[in-house]
Amino acid sequence: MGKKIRVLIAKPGLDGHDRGAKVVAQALKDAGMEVIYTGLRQTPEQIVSAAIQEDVDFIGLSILSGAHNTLLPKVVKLLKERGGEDIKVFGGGVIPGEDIPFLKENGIMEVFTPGTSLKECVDFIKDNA
Amino acid sequence: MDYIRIRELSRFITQVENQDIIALEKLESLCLKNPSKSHVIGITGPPGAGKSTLTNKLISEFTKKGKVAVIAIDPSSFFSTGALLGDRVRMQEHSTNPNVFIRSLSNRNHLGGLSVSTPDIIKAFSVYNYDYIIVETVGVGQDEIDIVKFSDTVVLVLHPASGDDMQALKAGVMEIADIFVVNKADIKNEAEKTFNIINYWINLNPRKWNPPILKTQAINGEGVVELVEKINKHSDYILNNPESVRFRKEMKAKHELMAKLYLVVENLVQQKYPEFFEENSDKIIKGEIEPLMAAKNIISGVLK
Repeated sequence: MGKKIRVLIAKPGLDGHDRGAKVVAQALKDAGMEVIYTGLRQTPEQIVSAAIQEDVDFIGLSILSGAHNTLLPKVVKLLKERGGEDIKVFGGGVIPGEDIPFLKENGIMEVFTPGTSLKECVDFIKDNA
Repeated sequence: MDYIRIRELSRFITQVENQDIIALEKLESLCLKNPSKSHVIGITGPPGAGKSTLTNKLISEFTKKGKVAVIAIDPSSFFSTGALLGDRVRMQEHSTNPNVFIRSLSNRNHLGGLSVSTPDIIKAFSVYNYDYIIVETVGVGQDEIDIVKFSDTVVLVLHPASGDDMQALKAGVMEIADIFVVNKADIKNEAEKTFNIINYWINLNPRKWNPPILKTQAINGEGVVELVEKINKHSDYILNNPESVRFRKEMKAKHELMAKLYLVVENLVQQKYPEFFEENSDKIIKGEIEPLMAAKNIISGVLK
């Protein structure tokens, strides 16, 4: 039995809109991946401990609240503290272009903004798995 | 448990899930040294009955007494082989509790309500000294009953209006319950009807352990303390009446032997003739060979 790509899709912080996260989760499932969805309003601690228990290869963080510069780097930092530095983190949602360099400097591998095709997202994961 | 040990267990489970032979051999040697002391509780029932929500509440109760592991299984896509594992959504409040470990599994197209590796993952949690291991099956229909072989106590969760007495009389999932739960009991009339049908069924099938029936509302925790009492009572019962689980243990041993035989043969075939499946399925499609012939040919080659 071969290894499967496992991805955790999570919604950090306080926003209640998860249509985007669910659309991405479906697309990854249809691309043959095992996707764990954690639901709304998760703290970075909850996301990181779920990711480690689930032994995922990637964490996808969907965020529309504007708190991305705080919450996304915090996830990366906690992963390092808990032995999960090999788990790759990407983000998506309403994230202004000028914030993306900062996020990438802080360990977010890729950021997908509105208008990204699902194929782009799937290809990114497959290329980096 | 510190972060390093959690990470180690998590990675070990991945290897076991992928049926890596070296990891499985390590697991078996650990099992021989540490006989299981865990209580394995199977939670089964149709999709949407409230298994995950009920499991969430059971975690709250069991963590008062010990460490809890949860294995939550969801179906994979027949077409893409991918899966969306969503049981965890109901249990995230326990995500940061160091005494709780939740692992979501895809059934990887395996029938029976569990994945192929679930029995091995139960053992992995057991050797890591989890006191309670809750196994939540795929949402089941009438006959996905492998869970009965691998748990000490099976809780069948039904929802109100789940069928008339004719459904209850059929063989299959109704027969494996050690405890019946009618969840969503706030839907009063329908819950009462389902309760009565199960009660009728129990009276028609008297056994040494007569499964109790409970009404719960998992969403607000109503009835969960009573459920835990019944689970503990059943645990005591099987401790005092080991002959009552003899049949289960026999079925479990047979199931495990078949599964491992399959694994060993599959690995041998992979090593000696990796193109076997591709070449022969092509021949079967073209009508050049029949499957039994192909299987016998490969086995006589492999086992030489």
